[in-house]
Amino acid sequence: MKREAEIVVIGSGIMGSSIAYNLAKAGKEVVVLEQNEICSGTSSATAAWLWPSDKTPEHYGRLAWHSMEIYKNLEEELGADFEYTITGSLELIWTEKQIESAKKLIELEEKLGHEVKILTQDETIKMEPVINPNVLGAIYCEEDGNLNPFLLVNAYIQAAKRHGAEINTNTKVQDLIVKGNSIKEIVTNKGSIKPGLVICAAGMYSKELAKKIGVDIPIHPERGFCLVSERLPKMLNTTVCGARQTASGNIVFGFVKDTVDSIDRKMYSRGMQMAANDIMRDMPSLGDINIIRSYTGIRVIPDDKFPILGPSEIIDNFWLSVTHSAVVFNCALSEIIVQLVNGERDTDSIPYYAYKRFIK
Amino acid sequence: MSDEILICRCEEVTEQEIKDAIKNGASTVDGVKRVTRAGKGLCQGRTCRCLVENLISRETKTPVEELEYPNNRPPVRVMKVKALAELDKEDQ
Ligand SMILES: Cc1cc2nc3c(=O)[nH]c(=O)nc-3n(C[C@H](O)[C@H](O)[C@H](O)COP(=O)(O)OP(=O)(O)OC[C@H]3O[C@@H](n4cnc5c(N)ncnc54)[C@H](O)[C@@H]3O)c2cc1C
Ligand code: FES
Repeated sequence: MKREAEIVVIGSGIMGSSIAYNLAKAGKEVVVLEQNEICSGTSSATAAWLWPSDKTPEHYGRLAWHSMEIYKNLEEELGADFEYTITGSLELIWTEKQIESAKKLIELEEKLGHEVKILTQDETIKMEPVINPNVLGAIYCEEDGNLNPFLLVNAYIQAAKRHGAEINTNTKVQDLIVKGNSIKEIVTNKGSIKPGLVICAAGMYSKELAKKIGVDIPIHPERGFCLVSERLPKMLNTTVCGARQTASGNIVFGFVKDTVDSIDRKMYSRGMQMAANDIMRDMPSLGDINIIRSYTGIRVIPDDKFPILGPSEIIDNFWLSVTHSAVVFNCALSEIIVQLVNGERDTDSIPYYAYKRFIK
Repeated sequence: MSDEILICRCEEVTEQEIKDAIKNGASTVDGVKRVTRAGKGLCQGRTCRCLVENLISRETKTPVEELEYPNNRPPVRVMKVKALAELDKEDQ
């Protein structure tokens, strides 16, 4: 491991790997520190939908769609297949209230240049025959899809290496030594490194890490439970809010949200059962398929829901990249990080995402 | 020849693919699983886990006992969605 580096990125989930790649591509000297293997945190337990079409308000929606633009050429750029697929998305409608909020969404998306539609019951069943025929309808957007998060992170990491980044796995950041107003040394189980800039992309562990040096990150955990089916012939045409079928044929189910006060990733039978109940409600005809695996993931939800990006303000060389929905947003967020690092923009240009917003 | 050898039968992952993953930095059964799919099949690694462990051990020169034990992902045997949905009724 290098003992000194221009930029040290903590974490190799979707955010850390995306940032490492983009900074290395921009010619920066990058070292990544990952406590486990690459993609072993929340990014290994995500549903991995590319669902920009429900991101509100306007600024957040624009950011999502900008990320999707970058995705269009990303497999080619990285020289890797990460099962990026645009399938269209269906969010089932069960209540009249949902129709009202869908109408507002449709208006916003129209303004952003994207089409979101309300499908009737018949149209919904025709598009996705496994859906419960009692559904009222669905919200549909042709431009949403999904990807394989392991392959995405691996693609970023291999491409970052080709641009000279050093990736250290099984390397846990244990301490951050601050002198004056900046981090002079990062202590790991594999020795220390002197950083120019530190970018914390440690997902759910970011809060604890930042707290060591007096930076409070206003985020909270939310647990999700997912179920994975055996490999099946093609059964889903779209990405359904609750299920996607992977390139290998497995269906990954799960939209369960459980507010928790810890970042415990154990699976509970209640979690599996909640996820199974959702399937029985939305797609009862799938009751007989076999589930081979389950997993739990911790969503990191910023208290105001928006990404926390860039300088921490409190420690000069400590930057943050903590967000929910990184599958969607990573491309746009990494682009902003590179521009901030290069001095091509400042935090005034990202009022909704800069840490500054929390400083009264 | 070794790239022809199947290590994970369920997911058809070859020895060479696993060696490549290890060369790219994977050093645990879960790490190999994430990039190659070995262990993600119908048997959930019951058949291939030991083989993967031995390969990692050989390639990284680490005794098998020192490798991180993979996460267990319930259910232990495959279960139908219907049966999982009934779990709560059993609890009550
Ligand atoms: C069930 C579920 C469904 C989701 N569905 C979607 C979806 O459909 N679409 C979407 O866009 N988003 C979704 N998300 C959210 C998305 O998965 C996350 O936003 C994303 O994975 C976060 O990536 P990250 O890189 O910030 O964090 P992580 O993937 O958690 O990466 C952080 C990394 O930092 C490492 N680390 C932590 N502490 C240290 C330390 N001290 N030293 C060294 N390394 C350290 C960890 O080991 C980890 O690898 C979902 C999340 C869940 C849980
Ligand atoms: S042989 Fe590898 S999962 Fe079954």
